[in-house]
Amino acid sequence: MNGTPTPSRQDENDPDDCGGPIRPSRGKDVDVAGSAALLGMSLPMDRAGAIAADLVKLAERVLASPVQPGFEDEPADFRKAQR
Amino acid sequence: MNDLALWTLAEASAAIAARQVSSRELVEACLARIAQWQPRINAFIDLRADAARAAADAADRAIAAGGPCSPLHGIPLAHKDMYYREGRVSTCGSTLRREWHATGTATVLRRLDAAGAIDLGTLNMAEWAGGATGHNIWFGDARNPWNPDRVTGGSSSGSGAAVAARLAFGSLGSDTGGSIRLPASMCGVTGLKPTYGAVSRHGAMPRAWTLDAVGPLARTAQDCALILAAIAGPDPQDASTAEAPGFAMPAVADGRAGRLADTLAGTVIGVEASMLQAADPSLRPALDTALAVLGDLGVELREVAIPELAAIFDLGGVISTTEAASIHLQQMRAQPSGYAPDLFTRMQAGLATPAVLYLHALRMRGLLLEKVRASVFSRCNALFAPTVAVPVPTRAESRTETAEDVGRIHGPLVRLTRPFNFLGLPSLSLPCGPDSAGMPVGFQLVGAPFAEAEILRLGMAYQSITAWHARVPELPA
Repeated sequence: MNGTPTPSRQDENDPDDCGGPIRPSRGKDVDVAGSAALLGMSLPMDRAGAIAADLVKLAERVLASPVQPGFEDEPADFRKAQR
Repeated sequence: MNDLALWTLAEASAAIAARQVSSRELVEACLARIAQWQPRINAFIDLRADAARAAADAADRAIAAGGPCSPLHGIPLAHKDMYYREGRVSTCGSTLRREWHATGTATVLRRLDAAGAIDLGTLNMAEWAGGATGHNIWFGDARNPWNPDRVTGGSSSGSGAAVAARLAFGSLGSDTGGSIRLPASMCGVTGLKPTYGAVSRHGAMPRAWTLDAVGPLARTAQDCALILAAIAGPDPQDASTAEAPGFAMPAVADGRAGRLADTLAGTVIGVEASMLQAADPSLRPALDTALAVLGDLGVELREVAIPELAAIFDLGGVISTTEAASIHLQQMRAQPSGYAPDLFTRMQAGLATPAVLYLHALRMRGLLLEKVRASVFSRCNALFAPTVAVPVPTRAESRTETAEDVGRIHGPLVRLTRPFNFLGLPSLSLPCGPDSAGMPVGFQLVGAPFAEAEILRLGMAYQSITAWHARVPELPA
């Protein structure tokens, strides 16, 4: 062990512990409502909760894909891939 | 055939060039059908009959004077109400733009004007191009000419309805997640979403600038090609088109069996198995028959799989939602009541997308396109997939009010179209017959980047021996 946190340290009983895979948990509705508030928008908490749940599931799916960008990959590479 | 409006664009073009018909006659034929159909399908937002007549007379004078005659010269078209024309209102389907006058003209409209096309007016659309059904609480729903209780598909709802009912010979739509192909499929017409960057978006309302594509809906693949030839190519005012190659019209397949076999010899079409399996059983007979027809033409059909298809769908959604929220942020803050509640609710999700997730989606785009090119287009000329996986819904059952409604109704509609926006690939939707309820069914031919000519060639060959594109809805007696 070199001190690097690993997913196994996640506390299954603590929904706010994000040491492992991303999953819905307490407080993410507040984060979403806060993001909107930073932009001057008011978001009802029930709507924020629904958006948070969707986002967490979406991020989990996307980040679990076996295809992931490399360190040097950047958005402009799409235009190169078109050629 | 007495009703000139029932001709294809190519037929009308040939007749004008041969001076067998005037542009004014074509315009009057369209206006007569608009008078009959508009109360039933609500395709137009702003009909500009007098301006169209004047433009047609000018086009006829130019021909009489021996001037140049492009394939679109004197042809009546009408476009989704999001292409700006200087001094004119472009509503974009929103009540917030009822009095908004454009200060410049879209590049695509300039190019169509230069080609001599006639503009009949502006067409209905989903509010801010943000819906897959064609509902619009501000201007009324566009309705499907085959059954006005059913949706047209969106967001280019008026374009699909108008072309299907033969109110115009073609129309520009726009496609961010399927908005050309969905109404083309659900209304039984042909629609082309070009490669990202093939057609200028300058002067077109943005929905999500990384995904938006401008393209035609028309009666046939050949008609789409004629419109594309006029609008495609680089535009200094749209950096995304900097590397757009010129578009060369594919040779016209003439329908003779021997000739077609020669034309298509060696052609391979990949069949995306998971997309085909996703189609509702009521759609399968039409789709299977389309595949059989392509096989009979001598095309080799080969089963393929798009790698990481689910991720591609998700990532397209991330980009679309986030960019739309960015575009609309200030307006949503200032005038929230100017949005339909369901659209406003849907766009709220984009306000909370983590910036890193959005950038992740953009970084994945090139990688996944390379993988799809390697796994599909290195061995296939095109890819076959249904356009829509579900039957055309009724307007009542697909009306959305809550966020849950939106996910339940819009998600399945764009499931098979949005991936090709994320990948930026050209996709042609072709009609292939009715489903068990008598509503149109469509399939997509998807090409490699900038391979519009190839998928149009295949579409023209398919339509040279099928007649689904020639079916015309009728008004009840």
